[in-house]
Amino acid sequence: MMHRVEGNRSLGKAAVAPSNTAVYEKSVVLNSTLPAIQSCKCSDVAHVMSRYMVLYINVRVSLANVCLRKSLHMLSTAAEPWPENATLYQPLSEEQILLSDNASSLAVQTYLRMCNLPVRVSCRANAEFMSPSGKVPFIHVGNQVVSELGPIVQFTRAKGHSLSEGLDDVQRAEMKAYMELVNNMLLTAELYIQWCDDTTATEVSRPRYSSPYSWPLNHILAYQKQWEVRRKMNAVGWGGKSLEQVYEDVSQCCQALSQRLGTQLYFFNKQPTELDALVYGHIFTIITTQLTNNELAERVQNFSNLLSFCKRIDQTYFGKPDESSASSRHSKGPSL
Amino acid sequence: MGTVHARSLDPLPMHGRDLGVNHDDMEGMEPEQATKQEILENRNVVVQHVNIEGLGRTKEDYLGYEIADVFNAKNLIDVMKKSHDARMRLLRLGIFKEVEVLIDVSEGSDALPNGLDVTFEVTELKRLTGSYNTMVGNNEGSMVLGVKLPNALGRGEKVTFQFSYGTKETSYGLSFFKPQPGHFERNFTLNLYKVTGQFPWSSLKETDRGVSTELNFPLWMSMHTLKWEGVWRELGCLARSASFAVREESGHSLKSSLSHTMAIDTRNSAILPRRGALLRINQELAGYTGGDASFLKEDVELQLNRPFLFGSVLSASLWGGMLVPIGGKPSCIADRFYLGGPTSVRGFGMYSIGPQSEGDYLGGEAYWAGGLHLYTPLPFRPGRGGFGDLFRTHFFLNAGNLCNLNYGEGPRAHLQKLAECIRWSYGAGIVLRLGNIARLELNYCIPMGVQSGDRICDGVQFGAGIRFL
Repeated sequence: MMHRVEGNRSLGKAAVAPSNTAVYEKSVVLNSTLPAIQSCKCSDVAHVMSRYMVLYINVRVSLANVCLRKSLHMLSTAAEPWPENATLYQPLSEEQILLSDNASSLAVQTYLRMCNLPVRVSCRANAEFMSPSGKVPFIHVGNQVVSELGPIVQFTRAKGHSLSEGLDDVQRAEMKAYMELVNNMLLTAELYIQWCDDTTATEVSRPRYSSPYSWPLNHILAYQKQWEVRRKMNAVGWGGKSLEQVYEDVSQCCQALSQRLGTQLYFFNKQPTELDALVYGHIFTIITTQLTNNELAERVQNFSNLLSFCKRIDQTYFGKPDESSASSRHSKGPSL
Repeated sequence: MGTVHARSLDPLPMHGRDLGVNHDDMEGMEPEQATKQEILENRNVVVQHVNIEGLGRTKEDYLGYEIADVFNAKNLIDVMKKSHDARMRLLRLGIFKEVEVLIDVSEGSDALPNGLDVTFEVTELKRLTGSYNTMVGNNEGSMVLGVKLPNALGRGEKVTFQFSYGTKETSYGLSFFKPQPGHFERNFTLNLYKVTGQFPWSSLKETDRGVSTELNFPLWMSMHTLKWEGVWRELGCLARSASFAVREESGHSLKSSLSHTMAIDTRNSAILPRRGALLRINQELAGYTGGDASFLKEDVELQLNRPFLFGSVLSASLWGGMLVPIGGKPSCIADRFYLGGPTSVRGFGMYSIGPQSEGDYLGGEAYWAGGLHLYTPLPFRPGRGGFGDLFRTHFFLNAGNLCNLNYGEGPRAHLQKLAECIRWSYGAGIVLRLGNIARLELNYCIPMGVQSGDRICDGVQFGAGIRFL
């Protein structure tokens, strides 16, 4: 955390430097909104989280600027209609997919539904290796292959479909910051629990991950994946964390999200954005997935507004209005 | 007296360590031998002792089989002939640097008046030999380290290890070879390897890590190989722009296969034969011993050579193969057949015939190819008897086809499919023999019967190959 603060401070300075006027203006706007963000704090945890947010926003504003310009460029070049045979690829939904991949896949599916872009879901045992970035899910549209939510959002925007068009720059930056928070906290926590908690890794992750392969390749690939994730955890500084600390991080992250959502319909009031798709993807998957214990799901279930948010999105976009609770639907989540 | 004769006559032709003795050379030596025969023919001798000197780690029992025949010699010429054969057999084992033969009259108390002693003076290869080299290719460099342990356990066992460390990939291979004492051709090999291949014609990258065991043995005129191979294959796209059909094949798979190869080779040379035939039949059954890939693969190669007018050679070859997936799963891109290139169907790009997707060739499940060649020595025969003999000019006519089969349609439909849209080409060029394993060709080709999607090489085509049509 300290390290991050240092880094951002120096970046903040750079942004204020008058040589780059565009970024300068943005940070002025941002500074004026800072009290607004900070004023919504109501507990210590929330205070920390919102500070965390602010720092992200600082970084993200300048990036958003770049992204916007890039996407405008893409918009002008690629304006083909959305083809009917667009396909989303993910690992085998019944016996193979893991919590984190399922969450990411659900987030992308939700996003595309929110954009009203039809996509066929195809389950492949080798989806991870088919993906150009090595991460699932990915979509195959026309002759293009795009993986992960961020690039997919960019891609659809280039095709003229966007959910965040109505947001102003600050809101967009804030949205990106929260998305970053979900990716850095929830996704990392999911990966940690899957691969660094020995019980989960042994009983759930390794058998599921390697289910399409025959002996001895199944063991080789599962351990190779576990080793790779653990190395990544060490690189982001999660290697030394205990399971309890990770649960605590998840709680904090949910706290921040819950606070930001408040009593609104979606994170940015009445209109869904990619952030809503991402949060729904992760929260819904966490509460509907049975791991070795329920600790993770229980932590998330403490936030009732997030639960009703999930239920709302589920009903609106996955069309099951009769269901009494979101968690009763297991079909999308891994059954283990 | 016998001694004098023997020593003065000592060298029957001895070719050093070159095991692939040229038959032409042997024939050339015959008359000389005949003239000496007059003097010594009638003298009966008994080989009393055969000694091998200079042995270090080699076990003597292992060599006994190789030299036993020398005892059967009845006269001096026989002794020399058989000693020479024994020397070749010893050299063939690949464990001696040098073998010299010494024939002398027997000495000592039990010496017979017509008794002879034969002594083989051998120099063993070093216990460990190593090599090191660097290679620079397209945008990549690599360092290759090789270690060889000949005769590791004293009975002809050989351990080789090769490690290549490159800027893009590393590969290694470890192999253990063990011949059966007395029957060098019956041998067993165990391999452990990792190899990486890039196939730009398919936009495919393949990394194989595997174990294989191999049993070689001769049976009448043919040579057989039984092999089991377990290989973990990792396929990936060579570039982001790879077609989706190739992308779909990405990922890991395990192939465990049993294969059998039978080869009958009566050719006088493997690369530029003048006469003789080659028949090679290879069959591979994957899936019954585990793994994800299940298929039956058959591959046949036939080549006939016969001398023609003015030192030229007429050669005909035919290849054919079929891959039958078992268990309803489609075949893998790495198992299918490919056709085309400077040493197969000439005039077409490397492996660039048949089914393709966005310019990436996907291979086929059945193929055939045939070739007709007329090889002649270089015009005006420059460098005759030396360097010039490595070259030939040739005129060729190639044809072939590669396609996928729908097994519901029956054999007649398959044959029809293979018979329509035949690719063929003709042309002329120069062939260069590289050692006894490969050849280089520079050809002018005229491709015909080109189908849409095929990549052609109209005009000059250059390439090297181990297997050639």
